[in-house]
Amino acid sequence: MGIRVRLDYLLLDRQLTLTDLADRIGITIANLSILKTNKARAIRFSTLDALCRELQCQPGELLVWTPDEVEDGKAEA
Amino acid sequence: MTVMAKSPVAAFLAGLVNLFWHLGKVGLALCVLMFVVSPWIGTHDLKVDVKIPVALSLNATTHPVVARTPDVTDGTLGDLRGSLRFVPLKRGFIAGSAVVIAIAISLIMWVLYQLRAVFRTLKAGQPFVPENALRLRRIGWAVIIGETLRAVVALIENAYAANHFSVSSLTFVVRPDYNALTVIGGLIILVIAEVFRAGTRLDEEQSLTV
Repeated sequence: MGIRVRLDYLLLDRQLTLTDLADRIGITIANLSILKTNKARAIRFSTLDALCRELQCQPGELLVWTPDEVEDGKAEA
Repeated sequence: MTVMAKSPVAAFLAGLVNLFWHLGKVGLALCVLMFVVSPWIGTHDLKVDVKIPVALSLNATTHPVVARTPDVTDGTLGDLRGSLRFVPLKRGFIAGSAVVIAIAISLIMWVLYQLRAVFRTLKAGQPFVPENALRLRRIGWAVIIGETLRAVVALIENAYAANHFSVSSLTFVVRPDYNALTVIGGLIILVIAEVFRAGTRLDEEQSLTV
């Protein structure tokens, strides 16, 4: 899947840690880590809403689509 | 999921499976013993009686079924089934029986092995894994194959009884005894396995939904 979550970039830009964000939006660090490392298969609207609210961003800033994304350890043709 | 592992029903079933597993081991050991001593059976007063399933047909003229109340007519008996107990004097019969019983027990133990593995995942709180779907599918096929093998063995035993015994007014017949309900049970398990497989995929997706 070519969707990437730019959580690491936004956290750095907002000078926040994963723990701070987890506390603010009420999601476990483990789940946020899944998002940050792009292992998530799906994201709930409620999570997206909370992330956008706390990071003061649009969904388009958080999620980007890249055609050359590596999936399951194999490069797409 | 961990709640399921603590369920008394799951614990009871796991205990039952374990009990049958150990009984199966004892049965296999007895089969090996029976195979080993089979050369001496029939000699030195060491005789073992066996019981085989038989199918019979009854002579309707010698054994009429008479109505005792006026609201029914006279009837006929048909498709009789029973078991025949006898002492085989041919040593190969005992050895062959031991092998057939050992194969049957092995198949049952293989099913129990799969069930034990399923219960292990249940105890660990992770029952929705693709391996369990595969195990259920194996169990389903084992039930269908086991029933087919049983029907074939029963047919052979019917033929043995028909060739070696006779009884007045009754005729031993060779008739297939395929239990359709057991096969349907196997098919149900296969369907459940497919549902389970889809369920594990959904569970996997759910676990990566944030």
